[in-house]
Amino acid sequence: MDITIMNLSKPKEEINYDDVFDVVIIGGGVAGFSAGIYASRARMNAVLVEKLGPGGQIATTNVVENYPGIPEINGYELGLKLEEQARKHGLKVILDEVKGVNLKEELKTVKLASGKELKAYSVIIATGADYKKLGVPGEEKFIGRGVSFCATCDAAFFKDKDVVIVGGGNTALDEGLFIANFARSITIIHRRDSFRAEKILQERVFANPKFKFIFNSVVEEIIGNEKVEAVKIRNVQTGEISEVKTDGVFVFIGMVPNTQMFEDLEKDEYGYIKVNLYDMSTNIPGVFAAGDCISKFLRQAITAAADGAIAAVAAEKYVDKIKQKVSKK
Amino acid sequence: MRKLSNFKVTLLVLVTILFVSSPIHLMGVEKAIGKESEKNLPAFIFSAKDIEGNKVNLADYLGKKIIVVNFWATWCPPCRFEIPELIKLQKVYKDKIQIIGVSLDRSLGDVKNYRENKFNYPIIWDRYGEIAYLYGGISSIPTTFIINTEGKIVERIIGARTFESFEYVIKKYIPKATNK
Repeated sequence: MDITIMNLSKPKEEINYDDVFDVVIIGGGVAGFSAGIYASRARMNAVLVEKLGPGGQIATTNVVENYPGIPEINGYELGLKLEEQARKHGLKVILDEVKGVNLKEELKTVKLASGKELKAYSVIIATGADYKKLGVPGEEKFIGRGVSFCATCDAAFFKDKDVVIVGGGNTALDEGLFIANFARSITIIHRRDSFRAEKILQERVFANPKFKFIFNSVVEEIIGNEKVEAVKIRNVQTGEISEVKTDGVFVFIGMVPNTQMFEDLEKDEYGYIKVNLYDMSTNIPGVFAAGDCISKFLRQAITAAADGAIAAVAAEKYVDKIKQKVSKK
Repeated sequence: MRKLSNFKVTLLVLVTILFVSSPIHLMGVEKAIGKESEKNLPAFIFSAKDIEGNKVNLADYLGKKIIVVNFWATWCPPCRFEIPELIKLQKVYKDKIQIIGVSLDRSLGDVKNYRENKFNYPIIWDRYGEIAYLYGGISSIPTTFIINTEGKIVERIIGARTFESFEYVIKKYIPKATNK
């Protein structure tokens, strides 16, 4: 794959930090760039802040094949294309990390790691979520020594080896199919008696002779000396403890939303931002949220894109009202 | 232990008796890397040719600069996200640090054809995974080692980081008087 598309490290436009932007979008995943595309096309003065590269979680997905209109695409490429499309419509992109926000005032402030600040009438939060850890003994110790959260990055290091995947959702099975290109065997350990992943993914893993399955079981410990050697598992129905020998453990058990910074926003019990799904508005006027960081039923690229579009149009309406109010004064 | 072809390895402190062949000493280094209690043990100081054919010798930087060894591959999205950050780090701290990129790609062509960024630091293709092996075995990328001016591994960082994150770490190891 020879990628030659533009890169965030080479911004094409100058950012005027003295500007008051119509909207600042925090996060450059599918939701953020979708919001950026809609905001730019609405001719809002919009800027997106991303700390590393475009795509967010989708960038580490080997193949995306459930996005309508795109039969199959590498996640990293999709991220680059989102960025390209958004920039084409005039979105400004900053490669920086958001370190703080002041959202309560009518004029919002977003503080960056570089020491600069952005001011805007509205903010769209699209910070996504990170992979949840197991929180069992041995996990931290063996990160980088057999424990991984990124199949695209690390599967190649397990060529002809035996690995364990923990999880039963789309990510676990999808990434498992990618790991199967390298590993000798893959044992999926899942706490329930069936997978919640899409049926098409289940059909694929069940048909692949490299896969073994352990249901109704949870990982209690990751065991090894210098590297991962086994996992200790407990059957949740019988309480039986056993060990599964393995060279690696890939953990795909769900997500933790990146919302800790937004203390003034209402969140659900898991930390996802509560929004009005009609317009993606939060409990603070002028603050919208979209994508995997919000409380909702389905977290997929397609729903993130829809959230982003709705948030951008809602932000546009909000900013228009604010500007009209200001001009009447 | 893997055969070490065309590849010179010198353990800084124990010098030539450890050179290349002893599995005991390799195991010792594996233990040394990445554990808080065992930080500050010597890093393997190697020399190798970069993808342009130029010789890169870590010994040349010892005592002068902090050495940053970054393991990556073109197939790895977080590694690619991190590269502009490392380029900026090398640019801003050019007199204080030297970054060495170690590619774990399957072919030299993959590395040479990578054109997303223009590197301002050398890239070595670790064809047989020898450098990765000597740094304790790499099973997650990006993994970045920070080696202080005394040749000791002081940080092992797993996962992509921003310029600011790297800057925060390396500033701890730049001697105060010369701190940027």
